[in-house]
Amino acid sequence: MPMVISKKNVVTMKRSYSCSMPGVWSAVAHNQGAVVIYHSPQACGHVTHTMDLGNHYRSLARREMNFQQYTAPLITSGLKEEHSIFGGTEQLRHCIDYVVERYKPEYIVIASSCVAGVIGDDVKAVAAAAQEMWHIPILSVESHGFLNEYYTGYYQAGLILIERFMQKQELQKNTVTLLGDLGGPQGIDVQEIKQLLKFFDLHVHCQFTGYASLEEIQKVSASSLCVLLGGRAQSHVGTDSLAADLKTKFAIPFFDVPCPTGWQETKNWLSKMGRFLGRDDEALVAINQQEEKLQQALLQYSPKLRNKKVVLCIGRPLLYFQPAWALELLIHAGVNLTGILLLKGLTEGQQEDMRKELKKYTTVPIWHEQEEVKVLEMAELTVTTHELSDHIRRQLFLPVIPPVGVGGLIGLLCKLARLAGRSKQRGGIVYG
Amino acid sequence: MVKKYSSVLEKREVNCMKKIAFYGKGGIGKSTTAANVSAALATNGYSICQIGCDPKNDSTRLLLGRTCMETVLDMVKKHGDEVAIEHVVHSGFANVKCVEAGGPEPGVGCAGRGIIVALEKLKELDAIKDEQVVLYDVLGDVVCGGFAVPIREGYATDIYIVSSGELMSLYAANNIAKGIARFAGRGKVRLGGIIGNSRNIIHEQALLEAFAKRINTSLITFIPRETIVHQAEINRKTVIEWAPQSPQADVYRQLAHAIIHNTDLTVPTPISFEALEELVLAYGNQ
Repeated sequence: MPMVISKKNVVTMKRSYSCSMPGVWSAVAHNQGAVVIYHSPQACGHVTHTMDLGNHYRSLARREMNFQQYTAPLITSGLKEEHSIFGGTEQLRHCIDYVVERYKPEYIVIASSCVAGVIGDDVKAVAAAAQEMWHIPILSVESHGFLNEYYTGYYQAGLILIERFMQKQELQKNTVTLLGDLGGPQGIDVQEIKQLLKFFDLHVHCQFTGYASLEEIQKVSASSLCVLLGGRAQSHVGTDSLAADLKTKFAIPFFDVPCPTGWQETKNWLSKMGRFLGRDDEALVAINQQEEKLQQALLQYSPKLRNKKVVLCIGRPLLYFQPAWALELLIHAGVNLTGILLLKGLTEGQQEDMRKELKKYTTVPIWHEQEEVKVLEMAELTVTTHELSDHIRRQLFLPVIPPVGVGGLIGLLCKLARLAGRSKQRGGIVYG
Repeated sequence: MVKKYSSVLEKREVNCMKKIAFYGKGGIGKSTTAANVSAALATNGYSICQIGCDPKNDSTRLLLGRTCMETVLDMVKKHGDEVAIEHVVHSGFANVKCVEAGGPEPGVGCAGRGIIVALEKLKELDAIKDEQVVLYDVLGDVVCGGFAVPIREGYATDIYIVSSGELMSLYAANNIAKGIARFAGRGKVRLGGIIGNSRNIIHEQALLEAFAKRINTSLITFIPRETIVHQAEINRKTVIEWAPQSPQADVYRQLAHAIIHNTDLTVPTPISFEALEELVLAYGNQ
């Protein structure tokens, strides 16, 4: 039986309940010259620290680390009991003074916490006074956790950056702003999107809200098009709203189609983009080239994978894992999918939903982890959403956010082939 | 006509600590009444501690002859963990122990949180363990959880609502009764009665008696409006100290006596605002 590492017994999340301050931080986390202040108790910084540590390891596992990348310092004003009684604005003033002197920021973004919200600290007034004193932009985002969740913080920060730094200007032909995160400009997913946009002679001149210098942020309003990144679950709502705001303020149209995963979605994405731009011919060229790229990769990897016995292990509910892209990957790989194992973490309802979804694409047997099946023992490769505590087993870990485009698909095929090609009984896990 | 009352309270043994709280609409005379009750009890030999739960720090002014600047919260801020009983407990008229919780400046911070922290600190210091009577004088209405702490956390068990016959004063009293009823189910807190503080409204005493009856309590004392109260106040004294032989001083002694011996503690039954309006209207015509 598979033992899953670090997995909650029951996954019952129906919607996101989170803190909005990390969303604010995330919005400017890699913007050159930005410093973020949480007007909060010290411990509030811990959530963001943990989140950032997760991102760090993810980048490391995917070999996407960019050591040159700027990361905004995150400082908390350190609200304590006495501030919850007497007010924390004085503490915030001291914190701003410290940040200005210590970090010499180009601008500061203040995210206010639940405590600041409950006691009614006038953060905007403090920010305005400090701005006058220090002559740098000091932005205040109301991000009291009890009002919002992570993506609202992200959106609110983006909105304030738009209001503060962008002016209406003439749109520059064929320039694109990417809206969202997706690992930043150096990440393979964003690189993939840039490659796809090149087929339409579109040049990305900014990614917003994060990974942008002040100069780049000011260029956003000159973009002839915004393309939404991410496009999954709750994150879509935030970026979608930012795109709508940019359209309203600066008449920038936006392409609101989720980032493609796998070949079929890439083909559709390119077709839709062609139609959106009125450039169907370029779309057709792009589709052909992408197909050719995929075929070449298949020629390289298929011999190593053909007919390998594979089991797909799923421990994420449907909301967080759409199995279609994973099944498409396995079809392209030419492996022999011998079964699908639903892991213990799924509730009965979640299992049922997942079974229904899987049956749309495959007829392979679906088991539950508690059934004493031998399917895993027979498998040569395991493709899984959760790490299994079996060091002999060869596991490909499927990322929460699926990789983008044909390039992403090829990347996973390459990793799967590498796994299959490991010598003798050597097992281990490869992170997709 | 105020019944003439003995100038000396009959002192009876109070076996366990009597824990009292005064609530009522802002400006209705809670602190003046509380200070006079404390002074009346103290001059009769009771050991008493009055705790002002208001960021304005003015509850104990008439007992100390000054505004207390050494509040619990200020002293905690100043001394941190080193804060001691002598920093926060001050001796007033007739050795009444005077404590002010303190709190933020108007418009900043959270006064309710201040009350919670101040009372917790007093408990931690064991500052009021020897008193026969503790009287909490709480700011205004039960506006938030912080101001409900004296009721909620068992600090006070006998609650008195100071009210005039004015509609909004009764409205606040009714709201406070709601707060008491809410917490009565889970603890010993009960309503001791209404303390009528006259504003010279027509049929005021009768109205207050009727209101008290409607919310399942009684008008424990009706304090007539007298200029001597103002005279004492501008001289930073209680009436008990300023004019001990005055009829008004007797009224306060009568109230103190009634409070100390009150066994008629009830769970209040607050009424709707419409019912309150009708009641006030019924007594409001000439």
